[in-house]
Amino acid sequence: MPLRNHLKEYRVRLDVNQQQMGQLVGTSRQTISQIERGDYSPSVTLALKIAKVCNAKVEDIFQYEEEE
Amino acid sequence: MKTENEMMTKEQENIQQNKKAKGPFIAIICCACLLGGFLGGFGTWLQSGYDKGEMAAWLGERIGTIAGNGLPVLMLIVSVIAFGYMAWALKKSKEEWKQAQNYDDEAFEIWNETSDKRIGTGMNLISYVTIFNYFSFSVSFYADIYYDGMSHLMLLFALIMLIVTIVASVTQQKNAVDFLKIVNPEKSGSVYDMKFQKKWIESCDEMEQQMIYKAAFHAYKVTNYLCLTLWTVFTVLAMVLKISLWPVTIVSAIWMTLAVSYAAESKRLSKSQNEAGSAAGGNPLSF
Repeated sequence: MPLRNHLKEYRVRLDVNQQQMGQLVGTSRQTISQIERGDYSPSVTLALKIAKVCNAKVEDIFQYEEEE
Repeated sequence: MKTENEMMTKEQENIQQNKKAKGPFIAIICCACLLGGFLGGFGTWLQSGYDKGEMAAWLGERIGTIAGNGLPVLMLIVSVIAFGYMAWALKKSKEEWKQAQNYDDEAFEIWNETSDKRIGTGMNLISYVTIFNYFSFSVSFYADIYYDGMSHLMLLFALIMLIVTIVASVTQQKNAVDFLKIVNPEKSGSVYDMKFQKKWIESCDEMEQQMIYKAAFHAYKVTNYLCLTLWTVFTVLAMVLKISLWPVTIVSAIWMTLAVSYAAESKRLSKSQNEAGSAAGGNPLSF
């Protein structure tokens, strides 16, 4: 997956668990877990929602890396 | 707008890709022709020397009588296994759920994956057994009407097993769905609701919907191959035994339904996306 993320760090700063984070952004706990593990790349809409909840920019949370 | 150079590069790429794939494609077609020719020739050789109608009737009566009497017993065995497993899976998951409330995120995820696999296996087993029991009842019913060796008691047993399967299947699925809704509060829908599938999918998030769509497309591809295989088998069998045109007609009808429904839905989604693109907002993938 070429998308790296710091979602877990931001979530810990917000002091919420995955279930609560999911509720805040309108998605499931499993999706938050998969995103944090790097197993799933969110859509633009979801990434924007996450950034808004974390009070950060999308590019601060998600970084795109070229595959070698 | 693509430049002339870009278009030429793409054309060259197309030529290269087609060249690379053509060899194996022709080899597969040739093998398929040889196999089809062999099966057809074998069938023609087999059909000489005996009455096709008698052979079909003899085989049908033997297999039908054994199956008609034996399948109801098998219905009971597989039902006990499937519904028993599901009951155990739900009970275990519910017991573990109470402890899981105190887990941290990682431990909870591990528990949830294990629980999901357990319940998912149970739901799949119930689906397979339900289809098997529907089929078994049909066989017993047919055998009771057309074959002398079929026991009426076994038919009655098959009917009872079918009713029990339907009731148990709905009840177990309801229990599973209710538990999943407790673990995943964003999920909604009642198994008793005629629009349950629609409501359940709508309550799934983008990742879960993507998984459903990928699995559905895989099932579509597999069914396509299956239809081709079954068409081949039934066409050859029709040469060897007098099995009527029903099997190949039904397979063709299913195959056509698959193709038409896929094309119609693709067209509808494409149209929805175009309309949503020109409007402010809107969900092009709404059901």
